[in-house]
Amino acid sequence: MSKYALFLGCTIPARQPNYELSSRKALAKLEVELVDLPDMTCCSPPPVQSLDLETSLAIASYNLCLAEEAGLDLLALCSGCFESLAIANAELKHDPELKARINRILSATGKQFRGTVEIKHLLEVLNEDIGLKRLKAAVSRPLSNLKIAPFYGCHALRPSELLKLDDPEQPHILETLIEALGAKSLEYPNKLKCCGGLLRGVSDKLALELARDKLLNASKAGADCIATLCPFCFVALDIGQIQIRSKLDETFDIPILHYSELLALALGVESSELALETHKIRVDKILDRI
Amino acid sequence: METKEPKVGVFLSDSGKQLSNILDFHAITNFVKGIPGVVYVAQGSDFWHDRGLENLVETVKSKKIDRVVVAGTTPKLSEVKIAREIEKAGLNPYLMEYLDLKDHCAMPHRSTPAEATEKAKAMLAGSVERAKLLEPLKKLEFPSLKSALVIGGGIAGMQTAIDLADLGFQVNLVEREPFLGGLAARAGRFFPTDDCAICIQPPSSDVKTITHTSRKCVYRSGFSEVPNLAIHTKTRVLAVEGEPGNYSVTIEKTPRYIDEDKCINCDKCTKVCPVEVPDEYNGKLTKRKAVYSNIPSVHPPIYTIDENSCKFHDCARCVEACPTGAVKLDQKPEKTTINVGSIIVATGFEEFDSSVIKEYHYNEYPDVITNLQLARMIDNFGPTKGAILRPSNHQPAKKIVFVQCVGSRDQRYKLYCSSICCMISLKHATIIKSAFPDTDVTICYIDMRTTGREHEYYYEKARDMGIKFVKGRPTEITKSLETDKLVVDTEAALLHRMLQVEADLVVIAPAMIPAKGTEQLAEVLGVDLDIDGFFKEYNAKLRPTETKLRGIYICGGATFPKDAPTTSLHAHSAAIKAAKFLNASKITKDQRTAVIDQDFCGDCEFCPATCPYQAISVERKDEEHLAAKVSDLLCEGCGICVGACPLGAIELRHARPSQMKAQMKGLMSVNGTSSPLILAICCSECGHTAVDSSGMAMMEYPANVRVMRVPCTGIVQVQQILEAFKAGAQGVMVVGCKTEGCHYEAGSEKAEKKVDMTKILLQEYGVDPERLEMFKMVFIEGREFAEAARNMTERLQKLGRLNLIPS
Ligand SMILES: Cc1cc2nc3c(=O)[nH]c(=O)nc-3n(C[C@H](O)[C@H](O)[C@H](O)COP(=O)(O)OP(=O)(O)OC[C@H]3O[C@@H](n4cnc5c(N)ncnc54)[C@H](O)[C@@H]3O)c2cc1C
Ligand code: SF4
Repeated sequence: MSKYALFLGCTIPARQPNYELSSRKALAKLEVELVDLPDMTCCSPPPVQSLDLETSLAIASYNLCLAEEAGLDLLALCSGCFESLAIANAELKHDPELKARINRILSATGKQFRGTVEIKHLLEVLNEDIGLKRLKAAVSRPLSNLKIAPFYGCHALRPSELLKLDDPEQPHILETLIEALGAKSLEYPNKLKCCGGLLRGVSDKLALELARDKLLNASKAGADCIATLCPFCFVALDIGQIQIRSKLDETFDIPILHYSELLALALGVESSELALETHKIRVDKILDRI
Repeated sequence: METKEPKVGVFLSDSGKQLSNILDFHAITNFVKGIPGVVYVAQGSDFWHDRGLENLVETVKSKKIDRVVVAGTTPKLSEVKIAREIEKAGLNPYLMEYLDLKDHCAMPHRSTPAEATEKAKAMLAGSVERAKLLEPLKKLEFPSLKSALVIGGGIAGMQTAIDLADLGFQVNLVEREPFLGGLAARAGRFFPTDDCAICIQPPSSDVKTITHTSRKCVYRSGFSEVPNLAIHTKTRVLAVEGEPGNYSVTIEKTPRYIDEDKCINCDKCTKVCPVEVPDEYNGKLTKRKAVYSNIPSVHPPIYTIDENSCKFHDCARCVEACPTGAVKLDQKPEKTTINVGSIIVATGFEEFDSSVIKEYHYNEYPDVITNLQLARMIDNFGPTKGAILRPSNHQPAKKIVFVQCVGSRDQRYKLYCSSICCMISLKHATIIKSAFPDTDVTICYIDMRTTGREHEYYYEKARDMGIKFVKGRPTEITKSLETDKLVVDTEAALLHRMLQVEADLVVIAPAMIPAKGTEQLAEVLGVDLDIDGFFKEYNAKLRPTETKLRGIYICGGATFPKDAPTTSLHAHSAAIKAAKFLNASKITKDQRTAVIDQDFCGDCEFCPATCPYQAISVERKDEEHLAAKVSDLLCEGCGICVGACPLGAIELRHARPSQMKAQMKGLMSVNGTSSPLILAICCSECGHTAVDSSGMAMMEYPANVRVMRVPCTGIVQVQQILEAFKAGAQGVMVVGCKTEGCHYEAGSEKAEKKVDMTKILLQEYGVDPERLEMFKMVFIEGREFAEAARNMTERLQKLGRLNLIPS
């Protein structure tokens, strides 16, 4: 039985209980033990990184130190958290000078970064630790009636040389894991482009156009739903549809589900246990088909 | 050995009183007369022509002297002439020392005549001491063969081969493919002449008299009839042994399985052959049989069997079909050895494999093709007979988008500009637009580079024809969902927006990279590749077809992507260099080479690894010991090995440590008011000429800086620097070429490391490491030399006197 420290970050506990619940329940079914470590803090995402890199690395590595103390690898759900922590981990491991500087900052908290743990993405845990064979065997409610448009977002894949999750231009991992649930994974144009999520509030119009582009292409391709990995992509595409309706006068009705939700459903978790009412675009259509 | 005291004659020239205005010649003459070993001193205006030279020659002839020291002006002009005359007068020309009193002494120190005179004395003392230790050197001759090997049968290799054959050399042309022509055989039409790419053979004198044409396609060129030329197709170079002038090359020929004398090109074999494979020659846009020939007939006009796909005796239908019995399925690969004097590499380049750029989906979307594939379509003999069709459905392509710089100018792949692909795309775009005017053609570019003669006219013409240009590197090529079209997603920098351009066909312009196998070939030949993997020239500016190894030349696309006109120039240049080398049937070289003292040589194998010219080999001396051996032919006399040998077992015959030490002591021996004394060890290439130029340009620096010339700073040994301090130097400057411009490849880089190492040692010995510095400069940096000399003097003045033995 594998065991990970769970890193939830800020957005998921605040806004997306559906992501947390589905992940916990699905992983429990797969006999993965998740440990909640006290005192975890912000992952220090790109906006913080661009203010002051060393401070941001110190914040991120504080979390890594907690995992090191517990002797557990960290499992991150949010792509942003995954990216920030994995970058910090990789950079400090490879640059002894940087590590020394950050450790000087960390010493105020009594922590020292040693570089003994790994940061895992949910998909990596499923693909490598559990493996496709075990995953397929555990599926009790195959999603064979569903055509799913995979949506990676940016932060799970790049910077690829540090994150090493998959080829950033031609990734396959999400498609493979969707097919492992019995569903059909669809190809559609621009599937690797930005969801617009981080542009919300900065340039709403551009943000909505980007989201619209993904929704349009996925629906043209015949998708029943879009599978996301990141809370921000989820918001951009889910709430985004409501805004697109009011601002651009265009109606899509494509349910957006985190991959973990699809996974939980396929593994037989009851839909009532998954806080699906969090979704702005109702998912009943999907539930009816499985 | 007879030990005879050397008798030194010193010739002091004042250059028509130019020098005696500054230097006290009377004092200098008296000083020189007092140096032990000096038996004759003459003073005059100059000694390199007229009466001065006659006097010098007569003195040598009289046998009064057997060492000559000439102190005068501009030795770079006069020293060769004097050396020749000395030789005629019966003295070995290497027994001469020449020093430049004008630019190294009088001019730069004209404001301090007393110190200048002191320095002149020191320079003479140094030169006399060195002269006494000089030894006569031999002129060596090595026999060489009047034959050459040309590797690669593209337009570069073919032209070089014809040139050399016409000049009477025996030429072996080795091409690994079954047919000659290289890229040109596939490109269809060539800019800037707009004629056939395969019209490549320049007139070969003998054949021309029969065929009466000025230039022609390779298939009717009579190429195989060129006297002195042996063509080996389907052949690879396996090993090269020997030395310049006498290489023994092992080549292996894969059979054609077709008797070259019997094949009559009837095509009956391909009709019956049941095997079909993708046709490489046509960019895999079509298929060919296992027995095939490329059309239009390239050279040689003989079919070939592809051994990787033929079923041989399990099928053998061609054997029956052939009316002349030419098919020989039992031919075996043949290894042969050929002996040649020189080797010319002309292995060309190829398109980069763009499938690694995943966002362009090359090799995945059939309608994304490269320029070379498009060239095959445009060719009337090609797979589509000149029509531009979409490979996915064989329908005409009405909307075509070219994507430039695919893999070129990209930090992820190749940083360089491949230099010819803008022109190739312009050529293709205009050809298509002329033939099919309603085709919509767009070119996405970063910069359009059309730098050759008349090249800009193609760009101009393309714009006039309505070809659209979008400034931007596409981010992705995708497939549209509604239609079967491709969509090129690109920035349009001039419009400040993103564009999505629909296309039936996307043509990418891949980076041009070295031909496959370039690395192995470079290893076999022992020559270097540049940072991008192309064959590296000895000097890109002045010796563009030579390698660092005598006798091995490079040309054409093998050195960097080139268009055909530049390739031709390069090929002819390589031919003339090889011809010059081979012409005399012998290589003449002096013995300014390294020599190894076998009593000291001790098994370490450092020297063979450091020699840039592979001149040192290691042989087994006995059961336990190895012995290094220097080839006088390959040795360039730089002395990098001398600096590398931990046991001091290697010396250069013309720059022995004893000679350098004696000169150094002489240079430091005269010390009145000049202080602090600095020894500047300068390489004879850039370092010493930078000193020349500082004098020529009338730069001034203090006379306490004294210059010693060495062949290359790579020769400098750690103990030599320490000896300089012992001899009285307060500081040491090592002045060599720039790292990239070092005339002996690695010398100045090695010297720099040694200087760093010596600094550590000095620190240990309690000597401030600031007293030692490495400088890198070129001839025109005389000002930099003067400045460095002044700064070094100031620095040492601040540090105070160096006392090696603490009082
Ligand atoms: C698509 C395309 C279009 C072009 N259009 C133009 C144009 O319009 N105008 C223009 O001026 N130029 C054009 N060029 C450039 C032109 O083709 C080159 O300048 C020219 O072909 C270079 O000749 P080369 O002999 O140096 O090299 P290549 O043509 O590459 O010939 C090298 C030969 O060496 C052989 N070889 C390689 N390695 C070995 C080995 N180890 N042993 C034995 N043989 C070996 C190869 O098989 C090949 O036959 C074009 C190039 C391309 C790719
Ligand atoms: S020649 Fe043009 S297409 Fe080729 S690399 Fe240079 S700029 Fe790019």
